[in-house]
Amino acid sequence: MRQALDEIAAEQKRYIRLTNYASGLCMPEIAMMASWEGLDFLLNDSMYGILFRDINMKRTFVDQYFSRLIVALSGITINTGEDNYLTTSDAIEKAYAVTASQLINEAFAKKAGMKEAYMGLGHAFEIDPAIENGFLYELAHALLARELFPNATLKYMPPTKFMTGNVFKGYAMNTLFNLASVFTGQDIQLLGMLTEAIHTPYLQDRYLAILNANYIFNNARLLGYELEVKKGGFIERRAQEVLSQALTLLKHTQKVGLMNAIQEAQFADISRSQDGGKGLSGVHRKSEGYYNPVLSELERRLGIEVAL
Amino acid sequence: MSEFKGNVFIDPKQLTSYGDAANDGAVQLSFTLPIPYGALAKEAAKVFVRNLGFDTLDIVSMEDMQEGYTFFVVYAHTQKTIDVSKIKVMDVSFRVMSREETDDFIQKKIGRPLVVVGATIESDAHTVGLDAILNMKGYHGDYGLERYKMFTVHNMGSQVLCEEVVRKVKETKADALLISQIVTQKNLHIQNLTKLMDLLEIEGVRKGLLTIVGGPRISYELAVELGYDVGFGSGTVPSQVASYIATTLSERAELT
Repeated sequence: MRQALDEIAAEQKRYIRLTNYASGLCMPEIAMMASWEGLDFLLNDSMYGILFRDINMKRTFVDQYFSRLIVALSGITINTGEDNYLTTSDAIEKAYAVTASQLINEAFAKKAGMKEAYMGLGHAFEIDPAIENGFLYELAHALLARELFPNATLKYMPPTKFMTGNVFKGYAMNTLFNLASVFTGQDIQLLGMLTEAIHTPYLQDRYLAILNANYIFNNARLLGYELEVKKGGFIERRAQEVLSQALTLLKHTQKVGLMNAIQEAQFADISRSQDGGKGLSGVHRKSEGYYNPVLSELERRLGIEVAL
Repeated sequence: MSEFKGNVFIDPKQLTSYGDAANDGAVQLSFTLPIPYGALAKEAAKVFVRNLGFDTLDIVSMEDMQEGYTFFVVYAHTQKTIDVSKIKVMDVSFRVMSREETDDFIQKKIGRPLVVVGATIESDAHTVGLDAILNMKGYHGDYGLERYKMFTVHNMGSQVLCEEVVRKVKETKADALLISQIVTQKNLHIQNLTKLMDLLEIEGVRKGLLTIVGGPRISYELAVELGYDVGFGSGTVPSQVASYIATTLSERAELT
């Protein structure tokens, strides 16, 4: 893949990034392969596997750390999976879960020696289009992410949950999504497909998606530099509200501990137990003489101080 | 049952599509031809659309998608008509009840909570439809089955193997099975649904189990054709599914 993309890149005179996943039960192994093969993006989330794939939480916390050490040394950008919170729960009600998860993902990434520019913290445009001022909520959520993480490479996901077979309405929704993105300065734009919820995209669906994005991103390029949101207005107040709800959740999490908070279903309304889920059999307490030369070397190169 | 729309006669025995005038047979089409943009492509698109049965047509947009592919938007008119009076449709008829009514109904008619197992099977990772029907929260203000007193719900989530579904049905002594499937262009959903139905038969749990399929492109006909009891398409709300389960299972209980 890398070789083929490099050939096309030379032709097109622009670099083309290669993406894959480092999730599930083999996060470090996949990260290692991605590093070796010269990948640019990896979908990698500190809690996605626990909540949405029922992988044991201890296993995931250990694995995500190891995978991110490799990622940090390889210059790979991670993409986190906060959009999943919104496809399973209401996008307005649970907006704070996205913010809280972004902060947790950021903290875990920093612990693994990652630089902010390589953190593709995720969020999504998933509010019910029938809601009055839904677009303003979207702008508030997207701006909050932008202002909270000014140096991160934010990943923005298109509407999926409320896409229907009406491809014309879907195309209009994708246009608003692109507009929200250009206004709020998102970085990694996943393009919406007008046939989302129908079938895997036709060639023309992809073509139209690119056409739409090029139109909006060119036509409204400096919108975010020209317009400011009104002080004390709807968007600002909404962003404040989401932030304070996220802080409440994080303070509670700090008090009871992250693993207990997950058990209490504080994230995505999904409860996971510390000894449940897939992959627990591979989790062992480190013995006193434990030494992992790879882990130690990764930590040494990244300048990570490890508490003994 | 002919009728006038405005001042134009609409004949159900010779029905055709409506663009901006009755009986104009107007249709909009968009498609890609795998040939390079140019005069030949345009002519090829015209011939293609004529071969589809349209006599007059207008290529309103032809765009170069590069690398030998061309995208077309076409408006065409057909002379073909259909006789609506000869069309038969299959549909389920049942009364849709509120959550409270359904709970009462199950309490009175069956006298115990009904066990429902739900899953999205095999390669399918979409949980939106399944969650909309089963989760507390529900869909469009209509609460999901988990919120009903008289349903015990086991939501297995996505990418569940057919074998695991059958195991769960046995283990929980399920009354109803809800399978959510997105339709793919490779028709994987047909294979998945067929495989599951075969397994249910082989394991001897099909009889007595109410099997329901849901998904954006699922129809009642398709579900029945594949051996399921019913299929629900997009826009279905939890109370419809709940009412269907309650009424159908109570009818079955009365028969036995």
